[in-house]
Amino acid sequence: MSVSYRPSEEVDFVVIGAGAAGGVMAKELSSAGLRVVVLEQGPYLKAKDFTHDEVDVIFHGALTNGESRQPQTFRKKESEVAKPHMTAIYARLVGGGSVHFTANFWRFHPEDFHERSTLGAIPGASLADWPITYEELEPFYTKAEWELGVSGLAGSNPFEGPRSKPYPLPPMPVKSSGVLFERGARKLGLHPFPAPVAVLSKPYQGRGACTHCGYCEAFGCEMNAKSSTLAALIPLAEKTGKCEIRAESYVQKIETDRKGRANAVIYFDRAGKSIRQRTKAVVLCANGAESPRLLLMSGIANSSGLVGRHLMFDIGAYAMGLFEHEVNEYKSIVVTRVVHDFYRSDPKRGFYGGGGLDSRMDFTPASFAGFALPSNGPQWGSEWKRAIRESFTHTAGTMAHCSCLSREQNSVSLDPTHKDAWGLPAIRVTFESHPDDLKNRVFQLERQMEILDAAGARKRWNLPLDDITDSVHLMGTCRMGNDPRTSVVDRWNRSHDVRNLFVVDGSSLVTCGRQQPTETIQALAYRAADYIAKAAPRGEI
Amino acid sequence: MMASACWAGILNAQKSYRHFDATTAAEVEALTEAILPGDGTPGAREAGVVWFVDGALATFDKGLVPAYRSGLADVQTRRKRLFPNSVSIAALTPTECHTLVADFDKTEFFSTLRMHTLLGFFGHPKYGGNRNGASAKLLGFEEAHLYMPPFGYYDREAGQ
Repeated sequence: MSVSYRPSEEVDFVVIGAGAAGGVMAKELSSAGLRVVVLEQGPYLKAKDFTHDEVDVIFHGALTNGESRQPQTFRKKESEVAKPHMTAIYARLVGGGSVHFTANFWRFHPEDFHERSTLGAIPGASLADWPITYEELEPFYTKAEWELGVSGLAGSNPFEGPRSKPYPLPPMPVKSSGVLFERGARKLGLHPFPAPVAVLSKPYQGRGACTHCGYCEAFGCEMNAKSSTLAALIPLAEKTGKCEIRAESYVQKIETDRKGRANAVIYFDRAGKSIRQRTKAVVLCANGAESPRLLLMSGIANSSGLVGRHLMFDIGAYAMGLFEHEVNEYKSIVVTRVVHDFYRSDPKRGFYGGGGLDSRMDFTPASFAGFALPSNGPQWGSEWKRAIRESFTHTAGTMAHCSCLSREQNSVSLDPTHKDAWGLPAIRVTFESHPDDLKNRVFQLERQMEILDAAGARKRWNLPLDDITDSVHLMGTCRMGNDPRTSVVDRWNRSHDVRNLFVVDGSSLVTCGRQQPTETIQALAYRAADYIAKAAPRGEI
Repeated sequence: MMASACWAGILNAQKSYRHFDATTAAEVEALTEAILPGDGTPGAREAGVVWFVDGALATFDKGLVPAYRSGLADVQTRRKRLFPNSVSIAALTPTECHTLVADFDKTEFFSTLRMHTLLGFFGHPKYGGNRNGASAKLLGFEEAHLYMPPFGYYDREAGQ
């Protein structure tokens, strides 16, 4: 059923990036009868290609971008010369981040969309309201949950917004870490709830249920039980006979005609040959770092001067507790219980910020032994070995997913000197946290420690609250808004300047909620696709 | 478990190093053993960590060869200073070797060696280390490809 288009043939849409958003666009647009070419820089792997090899996946970044091919530079302030450092990390394969993510699937809360109005201006930050509301996005949150396959318990989180439908699948079985987290949270009067996750607790739409192998975070699912776009949507897109997935295609430019409309996408194929694919329109889904980079390299869609700016990162705090009996975090999914009691920004705390806390363990054997034990304890020798032996099966972790204030000076830009393996300008990241972000991390960490204490931890510790110099959530760099002077895309993710160009990924997010942005990115993609599918036949793209 | 055992079987048969000479390999092995000592359960030596390091330096970590060369030279200088009568790292007693590692455990070379020890001990056996289920034995890991609830003590208790 798979189709292949000639580059000289004008297709309806080129989708750049086959990740969380690109996979949605591929499926939705092709299902609407549109002819789609999806260009993905990474390989087209299948479930059978994924492994439990942590040397390859965790330490050698087999599924992510890396400095050998795509070096990056980093600086804290615009006045500094950026130095080589990998900052913006993303999955580089068909399915993108939805393949290797934890699979936490949180909706943003209604108040996330209008925090600027509620809380007022924050000095030193560029906090703004979204041009859309939770109510407008809600049908598409629901659509994402049902199309992809999400396990959870509707109504169990008293802080979330109204939902039009329950989850399609019951929650995943609770792990020991979830039982302990829930026990501690309840003692403190909090409201723990079963984690909503894009993992199948029961067979769904031809895919089998999770077998609890324990290799979710950073790995691809060998069972197709994680609801990535690779597992859930790409096969449907290909089945339409309208969608061609062209992997190992590295885009260098979106070309525009004299009227300023996108008319072709130029990319290097796997052999390094430059190809020009003609198209009627473009959907850019390359992630919050690569999308602004491509717009800057193409010299388009930037009349606001804001492409790449307002960059927001993945910010959090990590605490661990050692318990009397075995917890066995190496089994099953990463997260089974969540608390949103400290999600809302409360002016009484004296700073902006909020967080969602979850029970979790991201560490595999080598990363646990090397980097999860108390940093003030032994790091080698017999004492270290004893600590590893005592801790691995008896440790439960918790993470705080924290707000990150946007600041105009935090950005993705083109490095003036460093190049990637294709000779294109390297990504340069400028990033320095707002002071409130650190205050909030300290606050959230204290709450995590209280939960671990209340759960009966014999010992607890946290990973150092270092400066943020890398992130796997890349957000805010093509801000959505009604005013073309202060935003890059409109309320439909459509470029203010290039009207047949849409930017649909983390880059359009105005605020980052409390991290876990994937469901919101995918809901925005379903919403934009719905708009496009109606507008295209009317000749309005 | 079966796949791991199979890999280990193939790799344990490997007799010659790809990067190191036998003398250098013995020096590196002694250092990794000090980082993760055998003390009732297998340490770095028994897990074959040095085979991982050897393979790494011959393939994906070729770029670290100069760091190993200069790092080992520095460690030998330190050994001669601390133990003037010694002939090699491998010939030191475990206590002496511990003292030697403590002397350079703030260096970049130590970080590299520690990282390789971690990956060689806990990583997939196909890289030459983690022999005889060393990782699973140390961690108390029940190695399988599929688990069913209850997963641990507390969810078992909660389910009753």
